[in-house]
Amino acid sequence: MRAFGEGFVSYRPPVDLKTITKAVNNDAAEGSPHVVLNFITPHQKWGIHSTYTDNLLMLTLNRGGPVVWMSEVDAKTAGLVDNDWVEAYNINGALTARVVVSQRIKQGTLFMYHAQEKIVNTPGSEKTGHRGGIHNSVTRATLKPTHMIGGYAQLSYGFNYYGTVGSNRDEFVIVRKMKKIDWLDTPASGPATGKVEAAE
Amino acid sequence: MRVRAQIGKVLNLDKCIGCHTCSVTCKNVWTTREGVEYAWFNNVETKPGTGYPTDWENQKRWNGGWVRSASGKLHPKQGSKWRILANIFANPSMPEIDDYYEPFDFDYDHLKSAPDMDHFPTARPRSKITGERMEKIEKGPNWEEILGGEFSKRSQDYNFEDVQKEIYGEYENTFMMYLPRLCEHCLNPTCSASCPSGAIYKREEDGIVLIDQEKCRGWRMCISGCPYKKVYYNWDTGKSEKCTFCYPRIESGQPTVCSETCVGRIRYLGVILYDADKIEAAASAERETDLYGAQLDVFLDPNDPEVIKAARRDGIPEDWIEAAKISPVWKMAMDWKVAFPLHPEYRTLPMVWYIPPLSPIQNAAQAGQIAMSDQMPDVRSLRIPVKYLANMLTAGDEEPIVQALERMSAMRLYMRALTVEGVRDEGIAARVGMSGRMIEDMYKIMAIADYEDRFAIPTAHREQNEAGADIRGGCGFTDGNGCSTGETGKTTLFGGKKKSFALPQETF
Repeated sequence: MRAFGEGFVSYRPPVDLKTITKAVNNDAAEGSPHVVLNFITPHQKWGIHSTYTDNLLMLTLNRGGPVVWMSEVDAKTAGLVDNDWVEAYNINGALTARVVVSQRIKQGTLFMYHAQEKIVNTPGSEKTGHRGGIHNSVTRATLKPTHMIGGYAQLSYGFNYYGTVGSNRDEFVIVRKMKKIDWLDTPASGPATGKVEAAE
Repeated sequence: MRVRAQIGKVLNLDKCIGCHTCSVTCKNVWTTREGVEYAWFNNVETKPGTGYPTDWENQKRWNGGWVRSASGKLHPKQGSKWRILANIFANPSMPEIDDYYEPFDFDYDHLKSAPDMDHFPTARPRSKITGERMEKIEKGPNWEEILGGEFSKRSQDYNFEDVQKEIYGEYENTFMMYLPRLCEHCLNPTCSASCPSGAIYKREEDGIVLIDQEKCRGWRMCISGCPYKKVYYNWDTGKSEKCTFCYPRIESGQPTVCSETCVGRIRYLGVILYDADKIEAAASAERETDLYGAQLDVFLDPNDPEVIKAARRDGIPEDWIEAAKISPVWKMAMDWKVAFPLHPEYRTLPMVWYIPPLSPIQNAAQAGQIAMSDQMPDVRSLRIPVKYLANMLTAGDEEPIVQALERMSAMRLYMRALTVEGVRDEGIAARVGMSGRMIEDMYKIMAIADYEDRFAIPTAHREQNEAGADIRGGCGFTDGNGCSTGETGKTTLFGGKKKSFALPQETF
């Protein structure tokens, strides 16, 4: 760890993972309003570990479905007002949610509290053509050599998860207002095949 | 002097973490029924914000509470008797459902009953009022959760009056606090004064304000009369409902559900003795800033032998007098002067009081050079503007708020000196007009907040307050058809339907 200069907690600037390049950002290409933001997925207020909090009461005491948080300055840039439907995307994937515009968010940041379910009030993504996306749809865990050291908790095997803590999933996303809200609620176009489609 | 007793309440905002456990437990117990889906007898608001229902504090819009006429007489702001009668079929000050929010549910069943689709299903919202699909949820009972929404909207907050609010919209000057709210069980309730049916009453024995569900005719003048907007109309029963202060629990000596479940231990319940003869004069104090002091004068010192004598004469039970002596509410409101009524300017003499929150020093730049007076941080440079708190709790008078905040920071300094350095620094206590002993007592009750210290609730004396003849054949308090003869009518939490009562028949 010391060889990497990480004997203690230390600051590392975000790595450019080429997830928001020109090729990806078609809003920039089309010249439509959008904003590029640092995407983080902090712990939500009402969740203790895996406690399920997306129940009717707690959704009522919030915005009633998945939301992302944005600063007032960035909202202006992207032409957004509070409670607009937005899509956030990069090369990893896309997510849909409503935006909460708040002065308490630092300019340049997009929050999406984790553990919000897309089985509730989540429309389809224009980008992927699939249902919504969640906070993890635009991130991926990136390993670095120090993760391989030791058998400590920072890298261990867990069911369905092989990776590290959230900070290693630091990402950038492109955020724009959704043009049309498609709920993808229509019955299947073809006969049921029973086959599972490839993952998004 | 006419001595009466009330179970008063104090909420220590300095410790509220905004978890909404109070709201959820209250909702689960009281308002999960049809007709009151939108009603939250207890709710928690993020301040600065416009709250629930929107803009409730703005009495220019809602005409709640009382006004004092030039002659010094009080009448409800929405008008006295004749004005109320004139508006009875079209009340201009009545909030509508959109001022609260449109309650919703989700099509959870769709998740398992959806037909074969190209994409997996999602549960979309549906209105609980119309049953129709909602394209987008536009409002909720806690829409401004942790400062959600643009500052330009949230800063319509009434408490920003006389505050240069623009700078508080900047990221660096952001401040926030939580405000849990419930019925204030006022000494001078406008809801009951506004009721054309005389259905709302304040119980003499414990001060709880209740709506008689038998007498209520659903005119809803109480809803506009209450400046806190804490009376709700039940569209199913056609009657109004409100926080009952969980009276079945209080009567048996237990704290209300919101207080019992409070995670932050911010809620206190205790007996306050008051002089019923002084209420009218106190509520009609000329200047709004005098109302807080006037209400303090209504309270009676339970350690004063004269008061005890008068209390006995007026039939206050002995255990209630004893409970008043150890009441945490008395200590915080009267001995330490750290608790304040919510919006005394409404002239309702509310009985749920609040301790203002301390907040961090203004910003990092000032951290090294924050204004100190006598080694104490200057509470005027705290992040939450004192004027904002004063507008909320003392009708704009900053002095009492400053003193309370100073006493609370002195408590921290004193306890730090005691636990870190092992010194009992009477100097710190003296600077805020207290003694070390008082501060240690304050620390025990406000910081440690043991269950026994938070709640000093004597049990009700049913033998005094209830006539056996009145309740004969009644259903009592029942959830369901507890005492009916088997018919399963609609349930109500507010006393069941009067059962048809058949006299025993002679069989020979």
